[in-house]
Amino acid sequence: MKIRMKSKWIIGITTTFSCLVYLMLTSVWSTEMKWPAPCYEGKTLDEVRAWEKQWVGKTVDASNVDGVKDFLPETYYDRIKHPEKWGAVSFVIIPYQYIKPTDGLIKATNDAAGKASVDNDEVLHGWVNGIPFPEPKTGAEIAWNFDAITHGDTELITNRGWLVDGKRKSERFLGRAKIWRMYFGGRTDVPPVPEFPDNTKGYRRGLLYFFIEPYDMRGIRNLSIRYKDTTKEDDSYAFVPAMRRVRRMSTAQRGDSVGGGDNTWDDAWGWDGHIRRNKYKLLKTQEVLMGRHSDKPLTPTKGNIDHSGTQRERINCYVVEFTSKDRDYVYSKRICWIDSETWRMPYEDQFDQQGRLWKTTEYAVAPVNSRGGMVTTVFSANTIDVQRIHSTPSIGYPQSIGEEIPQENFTTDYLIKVGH
Amino acid sequence: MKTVIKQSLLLLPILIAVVFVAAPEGFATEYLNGKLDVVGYLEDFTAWRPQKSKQEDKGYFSNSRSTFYLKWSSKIIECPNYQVSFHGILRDFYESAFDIDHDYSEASNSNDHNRFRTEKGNNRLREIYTDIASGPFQIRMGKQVATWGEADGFRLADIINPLDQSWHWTLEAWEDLVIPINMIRAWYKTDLPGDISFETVFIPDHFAPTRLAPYGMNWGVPSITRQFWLNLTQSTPHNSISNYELGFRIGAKIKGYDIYLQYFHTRNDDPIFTDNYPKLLKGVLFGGEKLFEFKRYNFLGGTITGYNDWAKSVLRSEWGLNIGQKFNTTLTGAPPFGIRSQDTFSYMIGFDRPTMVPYLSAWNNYRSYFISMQMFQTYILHPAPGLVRPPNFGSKESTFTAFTLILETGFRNDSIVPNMLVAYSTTGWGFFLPSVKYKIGSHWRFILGGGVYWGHSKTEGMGIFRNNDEVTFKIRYEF
Repeated sequence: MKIRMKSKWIIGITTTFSCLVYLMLTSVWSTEMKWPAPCYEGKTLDEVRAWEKQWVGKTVDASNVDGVKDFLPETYYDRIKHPEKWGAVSFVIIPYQYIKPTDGLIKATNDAAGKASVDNDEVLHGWVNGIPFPEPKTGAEIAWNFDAITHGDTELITNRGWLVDGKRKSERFLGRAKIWRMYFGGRTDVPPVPEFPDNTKGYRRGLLYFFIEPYDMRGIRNLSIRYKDTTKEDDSYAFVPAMRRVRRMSTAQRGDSVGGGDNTWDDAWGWDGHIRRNKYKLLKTQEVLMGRHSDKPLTPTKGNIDHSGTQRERINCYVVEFTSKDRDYVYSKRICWIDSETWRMPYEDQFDQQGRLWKTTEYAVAPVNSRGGMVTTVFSANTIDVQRIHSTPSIGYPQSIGEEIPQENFTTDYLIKVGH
Repeated sequence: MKTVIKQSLLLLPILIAVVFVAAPEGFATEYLNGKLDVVGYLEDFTAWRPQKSKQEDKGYFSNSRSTFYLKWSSKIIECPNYQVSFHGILRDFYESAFDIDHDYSEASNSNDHNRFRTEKGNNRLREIYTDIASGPFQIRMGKQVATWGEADGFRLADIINPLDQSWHWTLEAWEDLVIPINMIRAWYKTDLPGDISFETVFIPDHFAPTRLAPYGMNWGVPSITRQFWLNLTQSTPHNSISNYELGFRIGAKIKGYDIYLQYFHTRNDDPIFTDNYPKLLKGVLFGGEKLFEFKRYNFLGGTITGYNDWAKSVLRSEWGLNIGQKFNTTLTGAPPFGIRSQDTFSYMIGFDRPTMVPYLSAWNNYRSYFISMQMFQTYILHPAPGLVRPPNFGSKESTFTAFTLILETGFRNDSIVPNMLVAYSTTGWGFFLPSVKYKIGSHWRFILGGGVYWGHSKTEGMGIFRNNDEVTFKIRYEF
């Protein structure tokens, strides 16, 4: 009888203690979990504002770049500092402006906080939509945050690209294309959220390219489907006007050049491959000057591999090393700067198989109004081959973000329908 | 005076090109807020034979063709419920090989020069059609091209439009060789599992046979004498409802593979001799009789394509059963001819694989090499004694087997694009087509190429042109 009483006491005390621990932990989580988190607020914001008084509005070039050296990736600093080698480049400093995530993204992230996890093979578990790791601790978690955000769920943008030979000071127009991007799963902003109810094939994202110029690319419509299953390769199709038919395309060589440009298929938006294909290492956090409100027209100089005029502001970035698991992959590693606020990748260094710096890629974004709120979109990008002194700059003209795109557009039947 | 006119016509494309150089942005491609867009090119194509053909006594120039090409698309109505658009292609050319090569001019009939010097009549308006789309329905009406097939280089399932083989055989892109036909196409996409879709093609009355050149012309077929060729033209049926052709296609996606099945009731684009012996004899001796017929048959076929992750390749397959195709028969090798219905079965298997070639790709800034291989086989099922085989076959073979290999890559950011196509048939004929495309700026394209053709017999496959190896050069201004 005594023993039974004692057991009851022990069970009771243990249960009460467990409940207390749970309540403490959850209250700690709810007080400490602070998302969305601006890059700067309170005292740190005051410090940034004080620094900005000295620098905002100034044009930074080779003459004064040393003053902001600490806020630039080393490779970018080197390009500004040595115009005799890379051509003269300058940028303008603007004040830091907070970009608040959309309400849909905030809700999805807060609802699912603490549920996602990444295993040792870099595979994500327990995620539906939103930012899976609002307070990331590892490189893999940061990489998944970068991958998970949908930037308005849908996008229609027109892109123009050029090829610039910095040695010969010559340029060639690479092309103009309309690009439709739509997420089928992991949606946060445009109904249906989080996924199309009839997404039985397990699509994650559809990408549609309509090439407009030059003539030899004109009329090519390229469709690419990415699956939620990260072990499944993308499906890719192209309507080829010269053949008047849709042709299945191989997606095997994602390290291959896109249409002869310096960027590869994987380089789109910084990294457009499956997250599980790399190992990740968080190197540091760094305050850097990046183009985040850079929607003003750029001022390219003919034959110059980089363009001037980017508006840069101080932001907080995670610096993460992406190392490919495939030893034969074209890059041995990438060093990526990932914005902790928008989860864009404004800058990266890419290294060749011998470990030498090969390319740098920059994405300058700006916020635009979308149906779900304010989201960022890419206004300009530039991949620079530092070994050949060659680059592929492009300018984006966003046409609609967060507007509905018919699901039918991401089918081969649609390619035939609009193919001429 | 005539020479002056000829020279002016020759110089016209060059003059227009010079105007474009002076104003490189002179051609806007989009008008009316993107509702109308216009593109095109001016091209000069020259093919030169290093050695003058010994047997035919033809000249050094096999082609010297200046082409003007204009393509437009216009959106007429854009409503949420339906869309109407209008499309067209205008093409004209001037073939001056006869004018610049005296030997060729002498070796061929001057009447044929006029026939092949420029595009004729309505052919200038290559395509003109209207598209009407509403939800899952779409209908396309007018003169157009319909492609049902997956094979490159040879056509098994892609048989709706005939080919123009009169000016450079089958050695150009299909886009430039195919003959558009008046037809109605309709599509319906269902919501059924597997993305099942239906397509139908109806050709009410328009019939055009494979376009060939007469013997004596640079790309003429030796077995088709000029008289036969003239008769062939006369034998082509006029547009009438009796020419109707009808086809259906059903498509689906199953386990990542795109599968199409198709049926086409067609009139053969290639002719056979009539089996009416008195008519044939009268026609050959005195003319005036139609010696050729274009017989009907049924085609049942399909295609399968899919991506294989293990092979890192796109696998392509195509097959076709020609039911009741008509062939000539003769037991003596000479008239009288009989006509015999034969079934033939053809298939193609192939793959496309962009490949990083060790060292080579690394040297070329990690640009992949596009490798595409195909194998074709055609069987004449239970061939009748004395059956006259198609030109691809050996004279006594019932099976035709061929292989193709295509390689392509890009250098200097794809401003230099080398390409090669090799085709080899087990009957002994084949061809090799290397080329290098050089892109300068946004508008100018230069293509240096060549063709090496071989074969045991001058009547089989590319053996027809075995003495006609050539070097080709294209200069094109695109806008």
